[in-house]
Amino acid sequence: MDRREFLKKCVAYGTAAVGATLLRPIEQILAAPLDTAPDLVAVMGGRPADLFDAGIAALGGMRAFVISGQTVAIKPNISWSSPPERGATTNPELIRRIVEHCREAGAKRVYVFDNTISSWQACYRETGAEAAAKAAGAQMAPAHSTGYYHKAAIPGAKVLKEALVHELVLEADVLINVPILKHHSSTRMTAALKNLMGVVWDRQFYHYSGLSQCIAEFPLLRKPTLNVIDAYTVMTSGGPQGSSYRAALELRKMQILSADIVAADAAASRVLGHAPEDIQYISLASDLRLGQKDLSSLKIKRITL
Amino acid sequence: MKKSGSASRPIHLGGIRRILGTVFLLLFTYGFLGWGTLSRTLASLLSKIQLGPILLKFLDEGFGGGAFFVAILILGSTALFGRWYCAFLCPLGTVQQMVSPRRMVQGGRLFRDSTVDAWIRYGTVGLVAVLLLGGRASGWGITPIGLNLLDPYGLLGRILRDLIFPILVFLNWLLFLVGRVFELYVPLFSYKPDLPVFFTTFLVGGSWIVLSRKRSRVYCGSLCPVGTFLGLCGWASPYRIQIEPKDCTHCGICVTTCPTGALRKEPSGKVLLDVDRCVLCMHCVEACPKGALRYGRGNRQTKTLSPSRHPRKGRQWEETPISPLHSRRYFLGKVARLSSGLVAYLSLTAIGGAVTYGLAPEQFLLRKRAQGPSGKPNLPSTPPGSLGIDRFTSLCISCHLCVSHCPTGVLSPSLFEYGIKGLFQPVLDYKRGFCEYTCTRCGEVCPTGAILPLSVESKKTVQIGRVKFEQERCVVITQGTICGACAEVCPTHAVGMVPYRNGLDIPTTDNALCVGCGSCEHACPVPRKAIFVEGVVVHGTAEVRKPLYTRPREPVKKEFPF
Repeated sequence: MDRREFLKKCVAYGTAAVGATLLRPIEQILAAPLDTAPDLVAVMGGRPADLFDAGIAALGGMRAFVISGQTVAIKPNISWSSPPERGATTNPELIRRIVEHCREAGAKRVYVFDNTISSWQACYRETGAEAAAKAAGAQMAPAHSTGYYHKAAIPGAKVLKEALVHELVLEADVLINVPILKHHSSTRMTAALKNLMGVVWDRQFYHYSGLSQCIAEFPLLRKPTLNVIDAYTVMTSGGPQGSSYRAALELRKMQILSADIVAADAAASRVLGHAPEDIQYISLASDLRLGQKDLSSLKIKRITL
Repeated sequence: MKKSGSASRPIHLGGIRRILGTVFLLLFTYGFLGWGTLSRTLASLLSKIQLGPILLKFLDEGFGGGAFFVAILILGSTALFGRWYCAFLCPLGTVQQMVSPRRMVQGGRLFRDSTVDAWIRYGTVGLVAVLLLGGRASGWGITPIGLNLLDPYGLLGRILRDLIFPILVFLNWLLFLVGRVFELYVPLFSYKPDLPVFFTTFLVGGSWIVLSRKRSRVYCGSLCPVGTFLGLCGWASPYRIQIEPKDCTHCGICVTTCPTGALRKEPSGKVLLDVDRCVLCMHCVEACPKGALRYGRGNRQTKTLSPSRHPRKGRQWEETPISPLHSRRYFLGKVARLSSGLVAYLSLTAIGGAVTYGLAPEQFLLRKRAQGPSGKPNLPSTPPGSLGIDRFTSLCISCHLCVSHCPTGVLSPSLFEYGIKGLFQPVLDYKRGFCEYTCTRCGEVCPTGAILPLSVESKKTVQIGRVKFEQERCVVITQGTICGACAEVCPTHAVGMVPYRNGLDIPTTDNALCVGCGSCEHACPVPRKAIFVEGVVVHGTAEVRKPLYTRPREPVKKEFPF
């Protein structure tokens, strides 16, 4: 990708993002009576891979999100080098099944990546993400060096006006956000919106300039095509790392799927026992018209396996 | 006179030296610059048979440890066969051999005058020995400064890590750019530039290479304390280069090929061998057009004989004794030179020591990071397993092997963080990274025992520093926003969040749990860190609390909460 092409893409994505934000209400009004697909699917009572099979089927299958020949970037939360049963990182079974669905839908290339907090090789390996991704035919993309990041202007942002963003977020046709739901010591909860902090280079800027505001503003650049929140093993305290004596886990065996990142997080906040309004960044993102935090106005499909 | 050992074709020792030396150098380079378990295993194996680290380890372990036996093996075999170590095991020697010229006028000697040269050689060894033993006895943690600067293993380690590795990083970057054209992801090396150390190594390494290009193994001949020490051990070795007087034509070719200046041609034409300088490279054996030189055992009949021309008697033979004890004059001469060098440097050391200890303030010995609120000095943190600053600085040889293998880059070469006595010794720089909670690599690879190996479980109990929180700099107070970057990354809950006001949480610290990993300091977004680690002189013990919940709980209500 040369500079010109890159700039073009930046402008294109920027415009698209702004356009999407502006069009959203009209689109919803027009689509609501005709569209039979649910806004949000919640699945419960099975292994992560089975939950995904059921959930994606209810959303019309992966072909509703991935067109043959496209490149897909999958962003799990694999920030800590801890095994899946510790509930700090996205379940590798789920990553594997998502990659498989993408391949079946005809994706040309599937990348899995995360700007990890612990050393990246250890995280990729210990979380099982690397093995799962490779087994299903995806490539683990590195994200540990500033060389993979490009400066992007974030349209309509007040604080996070620009950021160094991983090139896959700027380039891939499809972005699938696959966070794990956890307690978080800073923001009380981490799921879909907070997970996108792992695609930017300078996280300290977020903390220094207003954490909730930056988290809420980032999707103005690009909203994920699909959000899949892993709530199988849920860390209810001692998060996000869960290595201290205070960590507590609950086996919720749940999964939340939605193209609406705010709605997905609003539902996830309920799983942790919060109201969506309790989480600052959900309210802020809703104010930015990035999605619907009011669950009662959404068409939710609940599936119990 | 009987001629022995010429009937059978001699083994091509020079070729063996080249092959083994090169293989060893390549493995060594891989151990330093590679990644993964293989690289680490290789590095820790190879570096543990390097004499500099072995001597330090022996000082720490005493006679019971493995280092003593390896030292006895190396020194004993040197007493028999000469400085074979320099030819085969020393990777720096191999590098020097590679960049050396084939012929030179004054190879291997800093000064042509052998007395001056002896002063430098034995003086260097004396200085290193005095610092090693005296520093150890004083308990000031000043032991290895001489060895730090001059040990060939440490020098090569620094050249590999601080000079060659950045160059590889640049090449890796080029490869990465090529990979992008083909939509391939080439992983970039993690490297945090360290310009002062890069340029220092560039200067030291660069001048070393320039010197080697001109004078060949002048480092091995005139400066290397390990080489000179081995030379003293192998002074009377029965196996050595032998000059067959009948075949020697005094052409002097052997003298011009000798990389350490071990062969000398006297004005009379006599060729003499300084056994303690000879590194058994076999250049002279290969170069002699008459085949008059060979490596082998001398005996009564075939003592090293040096041909000379007597003004009147013409060609005749003079004996160069194989053992100093065979010639009183030779022996006394050596002793005189040795002791004069030692005496001179002992007095220099005494003066230097007096200046360092007596006149210089403590800050000069151990520079401190100013990070406290009132500019209060802060001690540097040493790696877990080093037990404390003084022990660490008294044992570390500054080879930077741990720096090479540190996954987060927190271990960085220092310049003056430990004062002049600890030049180049690694320090934990929390600006660059943090000490990974479950990582024990630095102790795995450390060859001197400066960083002792730890199990993951015992590492979790080692407190290398203590956390300090300066509330007035925290963004929660100064900006009134939520942050908690420190508590998020803390692996032990030594940093936690407690309610502050307006629904905000503020960090709170508990030093009973703190391991001093610096995750909080690294993550703190404020330029002048609101939370940081204060180094400790001696490492403490961190409490490991039992988890409140050992297994995941089943949810009470198995239904959707929305």
